[in-house]
Amino acid sequence: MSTKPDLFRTCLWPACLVGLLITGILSLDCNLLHFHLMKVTWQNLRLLSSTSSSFPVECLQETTAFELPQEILSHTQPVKRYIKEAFYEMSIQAFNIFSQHTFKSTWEKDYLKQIQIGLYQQLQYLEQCLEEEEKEKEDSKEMEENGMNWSGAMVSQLSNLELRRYFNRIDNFLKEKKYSHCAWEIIRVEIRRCFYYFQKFAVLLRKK
Amino acid sequence: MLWSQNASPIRSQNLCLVVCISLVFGVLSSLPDLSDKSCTFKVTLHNFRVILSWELKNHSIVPDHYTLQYTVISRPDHVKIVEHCSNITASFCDLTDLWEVLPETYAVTVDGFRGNTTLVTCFIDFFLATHISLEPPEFDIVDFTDHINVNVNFPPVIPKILDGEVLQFYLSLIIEEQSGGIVKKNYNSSAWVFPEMPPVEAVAFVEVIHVNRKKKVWNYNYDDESDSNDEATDPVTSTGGYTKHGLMGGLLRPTSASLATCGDCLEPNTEEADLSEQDSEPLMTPGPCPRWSECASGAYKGGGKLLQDPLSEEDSSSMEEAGDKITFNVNLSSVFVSALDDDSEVPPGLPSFPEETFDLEDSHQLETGFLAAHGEGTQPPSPTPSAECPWPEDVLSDKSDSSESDVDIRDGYIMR
Repeated sequence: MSTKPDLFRTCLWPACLVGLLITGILSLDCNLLHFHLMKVTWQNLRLLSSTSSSFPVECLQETTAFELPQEILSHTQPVKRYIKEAFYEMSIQAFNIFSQHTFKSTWEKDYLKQIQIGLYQQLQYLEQCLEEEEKEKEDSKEMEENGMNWSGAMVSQLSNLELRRYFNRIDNFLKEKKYSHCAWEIIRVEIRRCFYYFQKFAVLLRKK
Repeated sequence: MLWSQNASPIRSQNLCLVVCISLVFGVLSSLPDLSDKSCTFKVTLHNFRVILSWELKNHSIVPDHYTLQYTVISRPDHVKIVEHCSNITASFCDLTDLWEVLPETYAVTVDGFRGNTTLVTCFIDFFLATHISLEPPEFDIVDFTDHINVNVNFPPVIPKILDGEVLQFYLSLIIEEQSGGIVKKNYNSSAWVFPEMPPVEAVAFVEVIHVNRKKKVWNYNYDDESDSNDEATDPVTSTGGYTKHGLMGGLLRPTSASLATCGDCLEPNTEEADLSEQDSEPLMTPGPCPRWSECASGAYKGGGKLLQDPLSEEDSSSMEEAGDKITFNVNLSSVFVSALDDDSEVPPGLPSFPEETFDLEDSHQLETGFLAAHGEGTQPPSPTPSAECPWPEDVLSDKSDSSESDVDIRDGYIMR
């Protein structure tokens, strides 16, 4: 007596359910992207405040200026596509930093994990929405605006380059300080500040 | 059921008037308290001034003066000594003119001395945007037979720390009368307040706070044995049960206190229920004594322009701008009645803005700003007057300014 059909039937419904779940997750509404970004970024900001109890006094002597890009600080109404791309860049870089295993013995591990999960989900959401946007652009009749799009894309790329350099400075700082406790505390404070400005960016996404 | 036009809330023995102004900022809760082993700190935005206050945990240590210094962690500058908070006897400091950037982490050191001996050193660091508590602007209430004036004071200039922050102050006046288990409400007065300094839009959400005198029954024959601190030629126009009172700090976030306080005027939102569960701290803190509030409010002269809510449907109220004050004239004859439901805990949302509506997930955090306003279960170290005001040692945040009455926070209302 063959058990394969029974096995198939046994697994069919759970597989369908999982498939539906995955489909539901993947088909996120990009009109709600800004809600997600606001919520997750704010949540991560709070978590960064909670991962460590206080900034060690002795670490004050090692602080440095990381020079968050002016485009992020001033957020003077950039185009929405740039905001999403900047968010994407920030999420990747921050995720990479918080995924390193060389540290944080005194940090709350659960909070750190939540930060990583939040950034990862944010990345997936952004990827999907940016791809959709790209597809819509190809399908739409915006070809006559190619000139403006090109210059806009250049500005966006330059700004993202500045953002990447910013995170490189953070990463280099960690390496130079040999991932010391003070270095991580300084980075925690800096990235929290970065999250705050991105939070405000997310608000701009909402505006029509 | 419309409230009878012949009735007057002043004649009700259980008149409860709830007024509070909540600044609609982004809110954070469940963050660690600002304290180290020696001190508990609190940073508040009081009358739009940034006030840092502290209290020693060991009360047997009594410095006779303090010195404060700070640094901004993201800027590798030297530690800065705050000149106007050096060798001070008060345990608070007005840092408005020094702390001009909200999203920064400030590391503060407070040294307590007796003579030349350092008795205690306190150190704290905090991200200002998420740890600053809000205190709403000062306001006065003057009641009349058929209307109530609520005068809200705003400073002439918004401090730099709020520059560039997405702030919305939405003034919404709610008057609620509780009488025999019946709640009568008028919440249709609303206004946008735009400060003089664009592009920040300032909207203060106003509710009405309780002044419910348990022990002293209002004498509606208007004898002069009134609780009013104001002189009034006509007893009908006396402030009766109202006192000049600092406003209660209110929060956007749903908490047990704010639910009742703000629930009537805010749209419910269920999506934030998971966050609200974490916060069970009372939001409302009693305001300062009248003398102190007068002193503090006297530091400012002007407010912003007042625009009446264009979508306000009821014509039961009007508002006036008088220099630095915003006055609400509310026609009490248009109060609606609803049964008091003790079980109702409508989670607050936001008031509906004239032009846009939010659900809480959107509005909750940030259209507004990112100042954290969070009430605390522990009492703040001390009230926070302006730097010019003497510190009234006997004024504690949980004490009434009337020796006869107790302050009881119940369902979000301050009962006196």
